[in-house]
Amino acid sequence: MLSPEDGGDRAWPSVALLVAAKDEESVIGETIEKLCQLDYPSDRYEVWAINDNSSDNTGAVLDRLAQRYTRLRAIHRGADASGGKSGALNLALQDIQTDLVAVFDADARVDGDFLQRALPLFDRPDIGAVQVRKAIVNAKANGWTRGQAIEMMLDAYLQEQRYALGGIGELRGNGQLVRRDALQRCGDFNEVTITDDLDLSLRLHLDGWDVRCTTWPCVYEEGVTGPIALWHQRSRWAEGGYQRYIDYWRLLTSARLSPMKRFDMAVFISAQYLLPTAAIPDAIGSLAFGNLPVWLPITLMSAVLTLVWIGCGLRRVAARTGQPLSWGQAIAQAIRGTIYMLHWIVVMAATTTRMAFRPKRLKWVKTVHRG
Amino acid sequence: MLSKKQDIRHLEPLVETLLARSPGKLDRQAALDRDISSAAGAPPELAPEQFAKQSPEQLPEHRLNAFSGYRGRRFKAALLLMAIWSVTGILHLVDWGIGVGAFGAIVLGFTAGGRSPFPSRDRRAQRQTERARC
Repeated sequence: MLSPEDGGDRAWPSVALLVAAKDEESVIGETIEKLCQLDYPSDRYEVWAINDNSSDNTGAVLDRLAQRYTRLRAIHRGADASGGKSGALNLALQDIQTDLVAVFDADARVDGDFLQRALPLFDRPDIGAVQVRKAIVNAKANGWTRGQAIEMMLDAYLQEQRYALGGIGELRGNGQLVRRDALQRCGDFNEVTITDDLDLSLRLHLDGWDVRCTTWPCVYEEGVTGPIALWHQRSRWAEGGYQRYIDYWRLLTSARLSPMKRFDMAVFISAQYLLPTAAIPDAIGSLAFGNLPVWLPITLMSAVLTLVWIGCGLRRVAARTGQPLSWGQAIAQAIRGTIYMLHWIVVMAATTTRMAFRPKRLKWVKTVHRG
Repeated sequence: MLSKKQDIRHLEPLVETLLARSPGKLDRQAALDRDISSAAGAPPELAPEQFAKQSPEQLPEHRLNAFSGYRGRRFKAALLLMAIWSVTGILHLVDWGIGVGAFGAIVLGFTAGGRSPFPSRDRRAQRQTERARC
């Protein structure tokens, strides 16, 4: 077990690990136990679990664990609480005085040395946050979860490259570490958004911080196992992704962001949001006028790049985790992953249309964790 | 007929110049390439002042207040959707429509940076960082 003296002259930064849970009795106990047993100086980290008005036994599980682990603080929110996950996290932040804050989902699993590996990534004073790779713990369950495992790896790999090139790194909610003072300067978590992580990412960049993303270490989480749950989750991510650009577009186009970040953002928005949305009018125009789809070259280029990036990302992750992966295996998985990624075309097109025609509502469909 | 290696040789001085002008990128790439596992077991290399606590009086000096609420989101989303459909429709009506798509593909292709498409850049970045450290 790491002790405070192991640091020599340098002091370990203090960290608060935050877990907001709503009806998570099947997974929360093990998550909190694992987080309370990390290999890190015991006086330098604390665990905060916020029971967000659960209707199951989540509160009782947390109270029982709080008696066993002195570093665990359990907070209970009532039915009148607002703000969802952001509101729950903000409630805990009022009493947190640590240097860093790490946010995890209720089903998160990390290795014992997670903090020792993740904290050195704050190696520049302008890094406001670090996002580790999300890995799917039940990747072998079925085709949907295998697809999500590849997707998460691709996301981490791309984000790592974007950060390396001076672009925009983004937080992903689970496995995100943020400097407490950076969070405070940005106004804590936004309670009127459905994706607090994406919203915070942009506010950090607008405040002059960098968000660093890495393929190693990682945080494990459960993937959704069916198409309906996947649709709800992706629709929320897509809508939250759009929201942040719509909410902050004026600032994002100003000189608050470096030219490289603005350029990176423009390419990302075009490839991730605009191109899938344009697929439907492009297909209609193509049928109506007998032309080739006008966005065909860029769509093909995106597909080829996705294929290449998945292959390279898989190889990189395999090298870092010490699990060898042949090029043949990487190519096979890359093809499968690229086909799986096509679902984003439908999600993005549907989300843009829904946002344009239906009144705004903060609808949040809970992702069920089975443990 | 030039080999691929000879073909890009004339670009080397340009790459060197670009890398020399972007020290920040070198630091980032070097940090990215660093074996994280070697850092495990030791505290982060952070100057204590980087994590020095700020008093509540110091913090409110700057507080980003960028969020203006979610008013107008529906209108903006509708505007965006209309723009995408209009542009795509117009491009179908002109002969050079697919040329715009091809131009977009070229831009995306050239900007798809990263380790794998440009391995030489990583090696150069690493060498330059090591040289700078010496």
